[in-house]
Amino acid sequence: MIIKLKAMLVKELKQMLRDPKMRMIVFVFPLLQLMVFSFALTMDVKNIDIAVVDYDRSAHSRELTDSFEASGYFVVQHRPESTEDVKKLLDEGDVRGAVVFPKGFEKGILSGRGASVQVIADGTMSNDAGIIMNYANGVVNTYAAGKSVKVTEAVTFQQRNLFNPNLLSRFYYVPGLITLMMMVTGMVLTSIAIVREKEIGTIEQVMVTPISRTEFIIGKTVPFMLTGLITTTLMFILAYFIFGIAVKGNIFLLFAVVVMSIITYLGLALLVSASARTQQQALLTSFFLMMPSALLSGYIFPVSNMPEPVQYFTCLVPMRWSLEGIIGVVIKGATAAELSKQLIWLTIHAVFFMVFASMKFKKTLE
Amino acid sequence: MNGGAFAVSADGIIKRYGGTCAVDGVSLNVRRGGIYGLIGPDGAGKTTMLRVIAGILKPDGGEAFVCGHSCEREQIAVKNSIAYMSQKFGLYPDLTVLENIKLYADLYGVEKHGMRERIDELLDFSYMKPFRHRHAGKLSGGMKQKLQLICALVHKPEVLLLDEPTNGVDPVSRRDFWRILYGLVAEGMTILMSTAYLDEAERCNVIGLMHKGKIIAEGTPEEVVEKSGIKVLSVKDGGDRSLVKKLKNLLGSDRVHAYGDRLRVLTSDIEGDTEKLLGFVPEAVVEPDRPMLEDIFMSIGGNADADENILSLIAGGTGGKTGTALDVRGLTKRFGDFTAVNNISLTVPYGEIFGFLGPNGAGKSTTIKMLCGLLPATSGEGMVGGVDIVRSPETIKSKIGYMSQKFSLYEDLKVYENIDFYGGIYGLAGAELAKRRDWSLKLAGLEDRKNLMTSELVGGWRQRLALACAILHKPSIVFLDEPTSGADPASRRLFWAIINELAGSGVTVFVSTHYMEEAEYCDRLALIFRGDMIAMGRPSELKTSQMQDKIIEVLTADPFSHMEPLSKLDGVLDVSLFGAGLHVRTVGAQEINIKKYFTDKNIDAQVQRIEATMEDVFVSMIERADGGGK
Amino acid sequence: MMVSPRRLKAMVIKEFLHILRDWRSLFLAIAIPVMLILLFGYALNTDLKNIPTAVVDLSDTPQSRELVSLFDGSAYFSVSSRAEGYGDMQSLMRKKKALVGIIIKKDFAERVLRGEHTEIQVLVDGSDANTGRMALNYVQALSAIYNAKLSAKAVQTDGVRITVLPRAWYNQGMVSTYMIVPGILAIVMAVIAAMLASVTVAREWETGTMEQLISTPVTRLELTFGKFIPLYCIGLADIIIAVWLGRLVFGVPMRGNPALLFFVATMFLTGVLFFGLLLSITMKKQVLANQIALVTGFLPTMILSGFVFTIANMPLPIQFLTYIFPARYFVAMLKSIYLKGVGIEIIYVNFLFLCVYTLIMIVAANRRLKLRLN
Repeated sequence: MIIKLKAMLVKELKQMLRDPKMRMIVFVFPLLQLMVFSFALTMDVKNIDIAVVDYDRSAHSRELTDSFEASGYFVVQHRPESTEDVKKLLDEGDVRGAVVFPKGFEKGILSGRGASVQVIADGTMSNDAGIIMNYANGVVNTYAAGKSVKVTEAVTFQQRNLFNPNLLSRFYYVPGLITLMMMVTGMVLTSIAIVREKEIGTIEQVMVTPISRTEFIIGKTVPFMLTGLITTTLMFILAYFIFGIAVKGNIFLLFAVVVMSIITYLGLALLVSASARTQQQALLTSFFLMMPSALLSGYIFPVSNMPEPVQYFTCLVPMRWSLEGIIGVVIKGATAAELSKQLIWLTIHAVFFMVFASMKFKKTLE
Repeated sequence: MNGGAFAVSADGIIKRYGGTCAVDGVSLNVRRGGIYGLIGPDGAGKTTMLRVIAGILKPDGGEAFVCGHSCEREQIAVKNSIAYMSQKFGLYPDLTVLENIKLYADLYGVEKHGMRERIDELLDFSYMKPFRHRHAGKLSGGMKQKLQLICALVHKPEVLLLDEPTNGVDPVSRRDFWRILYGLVAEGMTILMSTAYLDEAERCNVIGLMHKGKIIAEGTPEEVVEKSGIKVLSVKDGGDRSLVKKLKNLLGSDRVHAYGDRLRVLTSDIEGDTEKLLGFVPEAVVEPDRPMLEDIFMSIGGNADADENILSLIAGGTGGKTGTALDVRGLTKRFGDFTAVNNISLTVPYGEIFGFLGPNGAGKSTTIKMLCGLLPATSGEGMVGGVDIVRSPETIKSKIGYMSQKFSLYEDLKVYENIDFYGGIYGLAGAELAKRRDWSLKLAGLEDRKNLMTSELVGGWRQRLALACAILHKPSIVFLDEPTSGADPASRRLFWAIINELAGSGVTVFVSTHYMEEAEYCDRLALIFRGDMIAMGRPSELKTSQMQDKIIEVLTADPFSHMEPLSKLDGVLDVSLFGAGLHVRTVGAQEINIKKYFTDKNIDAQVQRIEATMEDVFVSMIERADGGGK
Repeated sequence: MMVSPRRLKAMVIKEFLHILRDWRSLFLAIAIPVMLILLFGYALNTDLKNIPTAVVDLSDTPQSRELVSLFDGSAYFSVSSRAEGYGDMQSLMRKKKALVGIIIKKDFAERVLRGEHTEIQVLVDGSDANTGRMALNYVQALSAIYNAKLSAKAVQTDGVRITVLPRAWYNQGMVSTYMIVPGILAIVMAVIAAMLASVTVAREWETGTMEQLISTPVTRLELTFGKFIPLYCIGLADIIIAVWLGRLVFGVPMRGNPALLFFVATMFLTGVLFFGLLLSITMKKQVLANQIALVTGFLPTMILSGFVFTIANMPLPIQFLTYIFPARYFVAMLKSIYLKGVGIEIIYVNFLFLCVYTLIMIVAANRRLKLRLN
């Protein structure tokens, strides 16, 4: 058993790592992607270019405009004459929003009747638009508050951000990206592992040897498992040194989550590989599986936002559990007991896919 | 550039791969309307030459011309006037026969007018018409080669370049293939081909014998044989398999080789050696024979592989077993409503060499795969190596060795890494593995090449490696599915030497082959046709008691032109090319009719009745089973 | 280099047959975009609703219950669990059972009734900064409402009231499906290029059919375009399905000129397909080509194109990096055509960039293709 596995292991590793291009793909690409995408993935809306249309041309409107700029969120790029011009600016994408002061703005304030100011946002990015609105509200409210006598609020809502006091999005996106990379590199490489041998014909010679199905499947898993672990470790190291993301929880727990996740992805990939006829089919199928996994995992789109039936369905998405597990350990410092649900689900997935894959792989020709 | 009389000319072609020189300054000229055959051991540079001439490989030096066009500078003109058939099946398996042909017709811009007729004609000519809607991937080996030939011929090229076109093709299909080639030459086409079959080489107008990247002999087959100055003694005895070994000891290993049911001894002193031989084996028939290309091949070396010390490796390597190795009854395999193997029963003792013969797609490979537990049988029962094949096919796998028809080792591993891998999954490790590794490398003659990437091995070397991997774990039963297909004569001899030794040490060897002279080396043969076993017995039995037709050999110039008229004579069943001559299969002894045909025409011809060769038996039986043939 | 229409046609037919015979791959090529659109349209949106909220109500009075029901009653929060204390609350968050926690002190009701100042502690799971920030915004909004309710009598006559009149142009309801459907188009096409084109030439090398093919007079342009055209047709079919699904199932408006959309899509598709072919030609191995296509084609389209993540929000060096990915231009143009309804006069800069990219890819793919062995 050990001898057979060792033979498989040596062979798979040699095949995988002999080609320098493959070495790049296995070790360098995930790290490179982590770097680039970590910087890119941010929902923090900053430096919003806006246009200000001031029909009032009063001291108050100028003051409020200054407040917009002073807030740090907005940069007034254009001061067009009319709202018509705003349309053109938005069309061309020069600005992401606009503030329009109607005539009589100052008069309204001074008379005490109240005034209104129009805030326009580019709705093509609905998310950004919402955030812009919120910021604008904040700026205007602060301004209004500054103008009025301080009213002490009866109830103060004291806010505290747990786990990530400064609400830095990288604390979430970087570990999530590592999870995603684990899945993508693991699945793409492994999904062709068996079908490649089928396509080339090398499987026939292996089939006549006494190696058992389980040995074969394990032999195909371990090498990818090793490279997967190495890459994942490197990614966490990179995350620590570049993004300052330290593992808050138990490192062994993290290891357990990572191992279970990798086993799950490899099992799934081997299942794909055992069922496919050509490499192209295998690659497409694994892509077909990875895409919804990534999207339904809650990484970019929160699970709690989804319709209820879909929320239940996400239980079947392994990446959901590995994501929650990894974020749990790394950022929140959760304990094994607290992550028991995630761990149990992951284990179910891992066992199911591995068993199913070795059942699907037949040692006979058809 | 003026092509003149030459359709193809190459001038000092040099091609290097890394440090090795594959082709080292080869020049050759091919006259219009002839067949030029490139022969030589594996890795001699034949394929490289053909690729350079086809314009798909850039040589490092020298230049090739086709019909006066430079293969470097006038690629379009060259490609329009040639057709090239690669060694590896190069057509699309997911396209049908007709779709593949149409694709190539369009790529070559065959004139629309008359294209349909041309395709029909080719399909008819090659008997492929009934299969025109079949996917190319589902064709048998022989049909694939014919399809590739049709695709190459669809635009009526001036020059046809064929790279070992008949590898893995059965004798019946091979006759068919050659019938087509002769037809083309008669139309004025020029053919430049490489081949591993030396009987095919004898049919070429000119042959070039390549060795280590150089042409070492060139001329008509007769000239090449003559120039070599080789004389041959043919030795026939009662069928003692160890005789080769004994004679090698006596005369030196590079002078003796087996061919069919005889041994051939290269000699310079006919009388002296005859005496010596008769003194050694008094019961044998020793007579001088016409030297063949095969003999020359053996004389240029490579034969040293099969020498004594390598063979002695085997004797100690396997445990001698006695009794029944394999016993199956009513083995049947159906795919849907197609019966691939129908009701085959076999009993084979340990130490026997059992051969499977049969056309491509007859069910030989399917049978072998069922016997090694690779393919579950639809029905039937039995045991292999004492293990039930229905109930525990997995247990069989540790007792057998298998070498598949298609090379199926890892090309992205090194030679020794493949051996280590298979050793490992057969459970060998440490010192034992090291010992077996050295043993198998030595046995296959791969010691110098053990650090090469497997993808760099060519031809017979790959098969040697595959064999080494298959017998690494000392199996008591070995299945070899066309192990020698495409290998050069030296490799093939080594293979058979190993097979003989294995059998001698008590290992049962199942082997399938398309080389009919190899069939003679088997203890027993089974002839499989359309899933049925139509004959079984010792080679001598098949040739005598089971062979009803008579064979008449005709040696004459331009044999092809006489095939048609001869086949119309009374009592003639079939006329086929055999080596450089013809074999006429008849019901009774019709020499008189045939002799009369030639004397009437005033043509010089040698006509004599001969004992049927294995190939004649094969063809005769197949055609009888097929209901009279075409 | 010349192109014979007949040879080109023969190549195209052959490639079409390959695709048709491999129905599983064909199915996947069509199913992936459909699945993506349905997923995005139905299941996925970034609009935060029903945030799972945990409450520690130490006061347990009608006043505190009123406050809790105010949270629960809003569309944003859904009080899903009760906790015993601070520690318990943190644990709930680690288990991902709650994103927001509210802690109401014991003397809450008394102080409110007495009109004294009091505090409510709101804990937010900051591990997903984006969700956390949105949750905070909602808390603030609710806080204002609650305070207003409490001091209903206390009129703020001396305060300045400025109302913000918000308007989101192009997407009044700020529906995320509107921005997602155009984005999917880009992803789908990047996928078609990444997954399908990157294996085509490599497969011919791997299976040995290339050797036979290059011995014919077929030219480089015929070969590349022969492979390109069928894939283009699949890509186009995908676009039509995506646009149609978006319109019929999710009611995404199509404000611009459909002809312009297809024209731009053609240009993008051509560019990425030739990029895929270039990879296939250069790598000669299906796995390698496919991996690289995935890494350089698909993921950047997803992340660096401005589809989900706004480019303007990224750090400057990354913003520059996005210029080398054609999806960036394509997504920008798609959104403009789709939602803003603008014409070529506005998007021409992006279009020019895309044209240059496409041209470079066509030329590079054809130059790298060698109709020779080794």
